[in-house]
Amino acid sequence: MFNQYFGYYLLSKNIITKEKLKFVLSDENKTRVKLGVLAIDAGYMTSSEVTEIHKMQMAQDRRFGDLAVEKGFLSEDQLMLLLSKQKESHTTLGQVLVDENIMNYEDYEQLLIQYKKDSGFSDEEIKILKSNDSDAILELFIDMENTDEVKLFKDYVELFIRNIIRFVDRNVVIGKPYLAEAYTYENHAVQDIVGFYALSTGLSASDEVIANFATIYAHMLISEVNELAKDAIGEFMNCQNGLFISNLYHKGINCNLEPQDYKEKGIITSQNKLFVLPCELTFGKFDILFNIKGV
Amino acid sequence: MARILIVDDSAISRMKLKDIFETDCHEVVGVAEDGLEGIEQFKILKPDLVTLDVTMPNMMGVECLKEIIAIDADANVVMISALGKGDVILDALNAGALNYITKPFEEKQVLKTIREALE
Repeated sequence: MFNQYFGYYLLSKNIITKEKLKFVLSDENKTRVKLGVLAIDAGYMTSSEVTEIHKMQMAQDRRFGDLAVEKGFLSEDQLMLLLSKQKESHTTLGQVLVDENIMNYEDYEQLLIQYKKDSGFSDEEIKILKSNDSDAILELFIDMENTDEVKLFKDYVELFIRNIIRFVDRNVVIGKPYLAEAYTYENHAVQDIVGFYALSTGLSASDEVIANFATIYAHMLISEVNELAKDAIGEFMNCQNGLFISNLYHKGINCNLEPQDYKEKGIITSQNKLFVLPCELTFGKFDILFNIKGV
Repeated sequence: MARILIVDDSAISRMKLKDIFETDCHEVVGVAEDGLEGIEQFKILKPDLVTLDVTMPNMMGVECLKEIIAIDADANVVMISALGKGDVILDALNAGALNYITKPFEEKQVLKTIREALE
């Protein structure tokens, strides 16, 4: 997931275009990760040390790892670790950025440092992002007190993200959730859940994101927010909530679904718990809305 | 080849189901957006099989199913719904549905289920 988070950061800083990011994150791009990039990622070597080894390689036909160990830049243990990581990685954003001459090793190293600073992630948190463990990543972002309501919200979001990955975009990333008393939307696909819990669930996004989302989910070109687009988003919500309710049912909790609805340009006000989770896809941002009205 | 009526409030689902049935040489004789319209079309069209969504505005699928079975006790009805929990499935089967498919559905699964329902 680190590639996605770092990629969206570069996009927000205009360092990389949306098209380039999509290419980098897509399956068609299977660049073998070089040890130099992995060593910088891991913080074992500086960019100048990597450049120095590359210069040495131009003069002598020897492997990067052997030279780095010989120069004392890497220990044997660190080299073994990097080699095992190299086997399991298909690509890293850093590798493609360097290969495509978008930046050199020095720029890459500086951007990584800047990203850590801007995002506020600790080294341990960056490690979690790199782990691709979606449960751990969710825990990292949803650092709210673990009440029954927060647990319910986490269960909902976990399933939502799995469905986004399955049906819409595997490069989804989540941001920090927050509780809102009022929320303004451009488009809001909403579906209520009734029974043991009284919940209002929703997906909110701009026209452009709704049209793209609907196009991918419905497997047909939908260029604007028309009835088909609204229907496709509503159907996605319906499938998400159907699965969520089935999961609750297996835990002995009985709820039912109300028909989905679609609203444009409005405000939600809530005296209850309205959780908002910002998410980002390769084609734009959306919010997951989860309003606990009662138990 | 069977004459099929699709009852579903989702236009995307109706289109997908219609494509699946027509590719398998069935005739989709009608589509309805809710339970009330579904009952009216069932009376007029007398289809060989009905696919029926569960969560719909105006009249929910299981109520619609009961009305259809009251009109024709031998009606072939397959429920197709995002709601895959046990009590709803049991309600539908007890009310006379032949089978239950959960959304999002796969083409193969839909065709296998309706073939079995029509046997």
